[in-house]
Amino acid sequence: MTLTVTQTLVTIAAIALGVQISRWLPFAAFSGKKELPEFIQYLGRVLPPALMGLLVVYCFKNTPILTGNHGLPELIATAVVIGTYAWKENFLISVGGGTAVYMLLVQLVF
Amino acid sequence: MLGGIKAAFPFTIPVFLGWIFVALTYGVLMNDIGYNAWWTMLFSAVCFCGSMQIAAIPMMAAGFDPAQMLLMSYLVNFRHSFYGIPLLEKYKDAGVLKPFLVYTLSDEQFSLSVSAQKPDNVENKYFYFGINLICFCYWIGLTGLGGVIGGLITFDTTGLDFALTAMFVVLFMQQWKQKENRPACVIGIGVTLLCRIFFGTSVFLIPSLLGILLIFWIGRDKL
Repeated sequence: MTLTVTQTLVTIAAIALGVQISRWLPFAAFSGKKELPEFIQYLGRVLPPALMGLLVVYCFKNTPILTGNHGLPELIATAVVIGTYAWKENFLISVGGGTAVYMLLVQLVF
Repeated sequence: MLGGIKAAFPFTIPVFLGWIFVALTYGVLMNDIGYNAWWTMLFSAVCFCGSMQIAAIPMMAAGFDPAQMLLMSYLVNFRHSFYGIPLLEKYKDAGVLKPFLVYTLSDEQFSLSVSAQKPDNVENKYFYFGINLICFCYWIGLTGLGGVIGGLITFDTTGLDFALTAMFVVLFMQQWKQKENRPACVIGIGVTLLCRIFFGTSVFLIPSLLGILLIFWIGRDKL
C-alpha cells in the first residue's frame, strides 16, 4: 500500500462520489416534476436503442480489423449470436452459444 | 421481491460469465499493490464501477490525489447520466428501492432494464431490483474471490468475456425489432464507430455521447 488507511478511504470516497454524481444527475435534475420536459421524454425514447448501439461498438473497440486475424473470431461468433437469436429468440442459447464458439475459435483455431 | 430476483436471475448469467475474468483479475491486481480481499470488496461495494476501479490502481500506486480521482471517476462514468434519462419513468414508482437502483446503475443493468423481456407476472420494480442486486453481489463476490484465489486459476478463460458482447448484441436486436427504434439504432452505431475511428480506443466514448445527443437535438422533430 502506497497510501495510508485514511488516504485509501478518502480515495474510495472520491471515486464513489464521481460515479454517483454521474448516476444521480438526471434523477436530481428531474425529480418532483410531474411532467417531464418534452425533449427529455423524447430522449428517454430514443436513447435506449442508440446507447445499445454504442455499447455494441464499445465491445468491439479493440478488435483488429486490419491486422492479425482481422476480427474473424468476433465476426463468426457474432453471426452465431444473431443467427440463433433470429431463429430461437432465446437469450441464454444465443449468449451461451456465441460465447462457446468464440472461446473455441480464439483458443483452438486462431 | 423474491419473484423479481428469480425472474432476473437468468438474464444476469451473461453478466456473471463476462465479469469473472475481469473481476478476478481486479482482485489480483489489488493484491499486488497491497490491498487484501476485504479492501477489494470495500472498493467494489462503495464504488461499484468496474472500469474506474481498475483505472484507479496505477493512480493509487502513484500517490494520493483525491481531486484527480474524483474528476477522473466522473469522466469515466459520464455515460451513466445518459442511462438515467430513459429510466426516469421506469424507476418513478420504485419507492424505497429507487436509491439502490440508481446507486448500482451501470452498463449491464441499464441494458437489461430497458431491453430484457421480463416475464409478465413480476412487478417491474422488483425485476429491476433483482437485476441490480444480483449484479452487485457478483461484482463484490468475484472481486473478493480474485483477491483470495485469483492467482490459482489455471482454467483457460480466454474469450469468456465475449459473453457480455453477446448479451449487448442480443439486447440491441431487441431494440432493432421495433421499427420505430431503427433510426436511433443506426445513429448509435454510426456515431460511435466514427468516433472510435477518429479518436482512438481510449477517449471516444464522451465524443460519441455528445455526438449522439447533438444529432438527437437536431432531429428532434423527425425522430
